[in-house]
Amino acid sequence: MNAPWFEQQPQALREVEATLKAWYPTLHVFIEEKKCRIRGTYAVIDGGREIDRYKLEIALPDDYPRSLPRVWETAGRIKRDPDRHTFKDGALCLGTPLSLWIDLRGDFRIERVLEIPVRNFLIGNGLVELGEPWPHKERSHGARGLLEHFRELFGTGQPVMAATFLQAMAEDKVTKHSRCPCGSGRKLLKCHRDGFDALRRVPSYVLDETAQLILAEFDPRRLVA
Amino acid sequence: MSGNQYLKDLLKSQKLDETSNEWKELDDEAKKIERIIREAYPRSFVMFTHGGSRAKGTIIKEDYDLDEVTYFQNDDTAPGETLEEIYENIAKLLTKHYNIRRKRSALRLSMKDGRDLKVDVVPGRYVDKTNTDVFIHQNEGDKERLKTNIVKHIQHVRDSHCTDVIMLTKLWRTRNGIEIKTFPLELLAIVVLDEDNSGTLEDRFVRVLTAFANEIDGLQIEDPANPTGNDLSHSLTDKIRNSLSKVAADTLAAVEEHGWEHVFGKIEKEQAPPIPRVNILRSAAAGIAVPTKPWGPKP
Repeated sequence: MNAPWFEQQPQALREVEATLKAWYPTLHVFIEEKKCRIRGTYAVIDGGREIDRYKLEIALPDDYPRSLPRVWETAGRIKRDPDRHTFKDGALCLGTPLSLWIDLRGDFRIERVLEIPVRNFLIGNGLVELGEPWPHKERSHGARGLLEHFRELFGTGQPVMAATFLQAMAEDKVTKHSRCPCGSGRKLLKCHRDGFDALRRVPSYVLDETAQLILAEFDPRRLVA
Repeated sequence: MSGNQYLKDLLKSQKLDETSNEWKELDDEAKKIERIIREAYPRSFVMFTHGGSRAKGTIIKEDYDLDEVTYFQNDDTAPGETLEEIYENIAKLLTKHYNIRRKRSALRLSMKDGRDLKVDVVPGRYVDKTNTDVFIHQNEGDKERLKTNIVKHIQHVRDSHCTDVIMLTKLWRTRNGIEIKTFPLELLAIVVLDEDNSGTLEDRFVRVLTAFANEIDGLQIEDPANPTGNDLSHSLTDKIRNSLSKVAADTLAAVEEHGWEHVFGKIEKEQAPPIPRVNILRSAAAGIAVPTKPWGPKP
């Protein structure tokens, strides 16, 4: 078994520690059983002022910073409920894997994760606690949420089309001269090019995982019929 | 501003005075609990005392609760023959009015809608007719019964001459999410300052953090009410000691480089009139540069 990332690259761990000390002095790194965890409280700052504070635990992934850390709220403030956007183990569902990869451009360093999806989630949660809707909307659970994102990129949420296109992207079979999945008949180059450009940077395993999640929920035979 | 002045101001901002709404809410709830218990056991002489940080003078705004200590006479069997029966009967009684979470010896109350009341009810029975030491039931650990004395606990902390440092240490614990209960944390601070309590507030707080960072394994605590009978090791596990040490070292390093305000934040002055919280959050949401949408797996 390979040594964990923080043993292979001690400089990367020092950078995490230095970032926390400089920007998040109430979050702390703990190395336990060959895993890197961050614990403490996160202050939600806006306009230089603390507007909220959450107790968090963050598990940095084995391939840090190339994939998303898992984040838990640990003071019992966020109910463990899919409708509050938590996984079964209580980790926060910050977004779909594909949309987060695009939004963070595949750079999941701790400061980026804290300042983009985590901060967004916690501000939204604060509003939800007050009976307000999520400020930037929320995605549906499961494949429906993945398809909503696909629709934003390509103007269609047709499950088989989306899954097939994502798999073809994962296998590097799509170029800008391919037909756009939206059904316009035009080339991607002259249609949903921005969507194509966004997906082009995403690693194959993320595209394929998204396609598989869609196919697992939508039976193609039933949908075609 | 000097570090010492900053810490003094921080402490001032955390004081919860007796006219505050929070204090009044706790009092009202305590009276309600007392009435429920007295009505259920009209023939019992029940002693209600406020324990916890409020009685010790170490209450802080950011993390407070009320220990509603509920002691029955040593020959009173109305609430139950055994300590466990007393604990369970009080829990059953309060369940009609509140949601109950069973803690080691206390019952944590929340409203039926889930709102935490920040009140722990601690049932117990006096050891003898002197009405001093008390037996309380324990849900966890080796012993089901624990001898304790809330008055001695309160005196020990209140008369330690370091309640100011204890308040800062509690705030530091809360801000850093360290999983240590209040009483062992108070005892640790007292143990450290017992050797040397001289200097400014900053000197003394730094002394506590330095001891946590460098000597945590050597710090031993004991229950002043029951030094040999109450094993506090469960409240100071290796994991907790490690957390205290790591966080204290991180805090001292951050303070040395950036100062106290960097760690504890700007001390907010009371705004009049305060801006509604929903407006603050809406404004923050409007300023988000890269909006992300929460998702979820298929339920």
